[in-house]
Amino acid sequence: MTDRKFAPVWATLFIFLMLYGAGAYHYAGFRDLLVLSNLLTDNAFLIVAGIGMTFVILSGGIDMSVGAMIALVGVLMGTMLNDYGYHPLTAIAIALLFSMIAGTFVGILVAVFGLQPFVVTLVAMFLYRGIAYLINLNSVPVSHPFLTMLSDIYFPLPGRGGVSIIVLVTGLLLVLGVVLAHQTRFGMNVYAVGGDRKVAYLMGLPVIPTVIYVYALSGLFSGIAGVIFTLYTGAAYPLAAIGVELDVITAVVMGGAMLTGGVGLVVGTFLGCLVLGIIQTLIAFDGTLNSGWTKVAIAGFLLLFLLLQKGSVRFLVRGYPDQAD
Amino acid sequence: MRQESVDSLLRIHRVSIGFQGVWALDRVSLDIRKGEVHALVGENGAGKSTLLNILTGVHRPDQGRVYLENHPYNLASPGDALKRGVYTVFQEPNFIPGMTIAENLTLFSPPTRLGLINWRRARRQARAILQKVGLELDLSRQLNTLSVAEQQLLAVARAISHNAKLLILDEATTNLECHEVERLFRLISSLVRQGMSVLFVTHHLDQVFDYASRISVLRNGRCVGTFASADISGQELVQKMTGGIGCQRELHPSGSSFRPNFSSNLCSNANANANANANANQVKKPFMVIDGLGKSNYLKPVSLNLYQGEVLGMTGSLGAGQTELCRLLYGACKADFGKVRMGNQTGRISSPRTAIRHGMAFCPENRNVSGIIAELSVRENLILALQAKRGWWLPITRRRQVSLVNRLVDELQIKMPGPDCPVHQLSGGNQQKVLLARWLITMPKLFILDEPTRGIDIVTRAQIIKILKELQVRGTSIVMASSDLNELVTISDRILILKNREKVLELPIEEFDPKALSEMLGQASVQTQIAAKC
Repeated sequence: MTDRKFAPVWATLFIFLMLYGAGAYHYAGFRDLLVLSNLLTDNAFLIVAGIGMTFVILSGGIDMSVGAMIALVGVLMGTMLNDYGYHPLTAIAIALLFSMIAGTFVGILVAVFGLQPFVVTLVAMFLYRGIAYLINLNSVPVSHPFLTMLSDIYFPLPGRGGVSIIVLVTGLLLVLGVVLAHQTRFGMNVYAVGGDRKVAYLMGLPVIPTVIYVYALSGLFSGIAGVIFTLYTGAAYPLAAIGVELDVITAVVMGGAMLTGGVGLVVGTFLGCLVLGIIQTLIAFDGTLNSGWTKVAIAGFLLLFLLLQKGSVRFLVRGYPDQAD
Repeated sequence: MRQESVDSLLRIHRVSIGFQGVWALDRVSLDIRKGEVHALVGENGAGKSTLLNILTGVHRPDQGRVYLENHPYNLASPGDALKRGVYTVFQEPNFIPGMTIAENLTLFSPPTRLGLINWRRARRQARAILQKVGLELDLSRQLNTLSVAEQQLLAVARAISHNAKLLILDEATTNLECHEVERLFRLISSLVRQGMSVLFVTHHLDQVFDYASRISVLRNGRCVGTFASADISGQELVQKMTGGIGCQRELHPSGSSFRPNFSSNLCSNANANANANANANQVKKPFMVIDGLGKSNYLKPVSLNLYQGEVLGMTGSLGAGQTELCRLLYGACKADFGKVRMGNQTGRISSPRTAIRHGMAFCPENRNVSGIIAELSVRENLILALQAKRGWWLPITRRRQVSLVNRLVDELQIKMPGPDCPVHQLSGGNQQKVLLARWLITMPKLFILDEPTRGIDIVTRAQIIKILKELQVRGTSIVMASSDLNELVTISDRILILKNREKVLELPIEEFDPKALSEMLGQASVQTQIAAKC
């Protein structure tokens, strides 16, 4: 609600625009709308997983199983389509149901048994990845006439750009995420639980259910990210999306969320994903640079962002010595 | 007293609850009437917190019953207490610090339309709540930017907005100043007239007599009795709380005030000693010279001399700069300007490590946040400071640790199950003693204390003061911040008064007049309030 809450979002937006401006200045092709629509399509799975992760981090937790879930959902879809001949819609529905149930289990372990989210989701990560290997060791193509039809849906825009079904779905989920965070009791409870768990409990808020829902939501959103990733790559591979959870966390933090919980915005995560994406695009456009520079640039911006955040926090609490340290 | 004839709101009937085989509450019965302010008093560890935890739904009684308006009052969680109309305002008000006022006031029951929160209506409701209690605050302000007093009023406002039947004030006035307490109770008494009841838990006995109509006393988990506040004197009440043993010697009523006065026979020896020391100071060289120590936006430069074996008392209204000065002295917060001279060395205390190396010790304001490591055992907490002073590569043998701990526990009369019990299981007063003891091991040259007796019962308070007196006699220089003037007067040799983060006055104790000071401070805070409003 406050302007102050949006400060990190403005900072991320500023960094994004600067990077985009630099690209547009150096490369003529960068000015096409195509770059932006590709940016969205290429990073759709990151954005979707990021929305789920935002809720987890807002609640004061973390989810390390995102990348493994993406790979597992892909492998599940591949098997269901190729080996069992399921219709893609059925396969997607089953995969998403599975991811949500798995997330719920993680949530129960965290909320009811009081285990640490980092460790629990690490267990989940190994488990998902292991199951994916057990089902299929190799990369298999995921294709079906229905899926081809889906990817043919495309609303062209000027400048060689366009909106694909993936971008459309991502946009819808983004709106859903924002509404969920700010317009529902669930969203308020997530902020409250992450802000001060004990106070939330004493105020009679449903702490345990909220935490369970948060991980179920993250499971579901990683599942959707997995479906998007599979559609996007057209293949299912158990080694896919290794370390994606770290990219997602990076995006969430760049979006202004605090890992301690209670602070952050879904929109910020979206912008964080775009910053990560545009760094990659810039390095690709240059063509001469080693792709290792992507990671170096991300490291630099993340550090810059953390320092900015610390600085702004210190500035804000100045004059309130009890909270200064 | 015939209680059947009066309408009762909450009836607690022979409630018992035990933890690890010890009865924290033993067949406690009491009765809160409709439209009364009922005070609950007792020493630390008497069972007040446990009883409140039952009323708020954190614990469930092992035996006995609670009735609210003659219906069984069984709670599954704190949310149930709120649904039944029992609201609690804690010492640290229950709000989510990162959320705005509007969000915090909406959190419990947001107005929704089609499942979505209607923020416009929520803000309108929040504004109405604020108006009811006469607070003028920007709804989009974050909670942690409000003062404690504002938060407390806001917490009461929230309770009212949910039509609370019973308002529990759990040490809610501890962090407030006189005029703020008055403001709170003006609001509350208007609600009491409308039929709301208040259960008022506090260590401030003067407030009990000012505002409560009946008083219940808990001692060692039992209810000693309920008394009409008009029928009992302060001295009698203290006797009921302490059991009348061991406190007569230490607590003397002074004039019409029943507030314990510590300058009793017990301390007179030390006092004489201290005064002798103070006189000697005229010629003695100061052991520490503080020259213009300050930090921008934190504390305006302060100059001070500290002498061996002398107590410097520090006071002012809440947030006037006492905590800030303590922290700067100890290096817990780095000073921007000024310097400190100790012996031949001149410089700044840049960190607590340096401070410890120079023989300083610090007992911070909020022991839960910045003092005690709650998960560590009593022994480990006690050894911590000594170990830090010796350096971490010189471990202290287990045998020496045990003997040290035993000696201190005896000396300070720390009540605990055993030296290996985690500190958070101790009562507040005993935690404070552990914190003091920790520093006593190191025999500090300068001991800085920030509100060491806040939230602590009278007997423990007297013990703490006694410990400080002994330290002083042994030559330790003490700087102590306290909002309790009586206490300051009894222990201090000099008094330092702060206002608006600036030193305004430094007086020897003989020239100090508490009454004049209260008036001055009261006016000052009123003035700042007016200034803040403009």
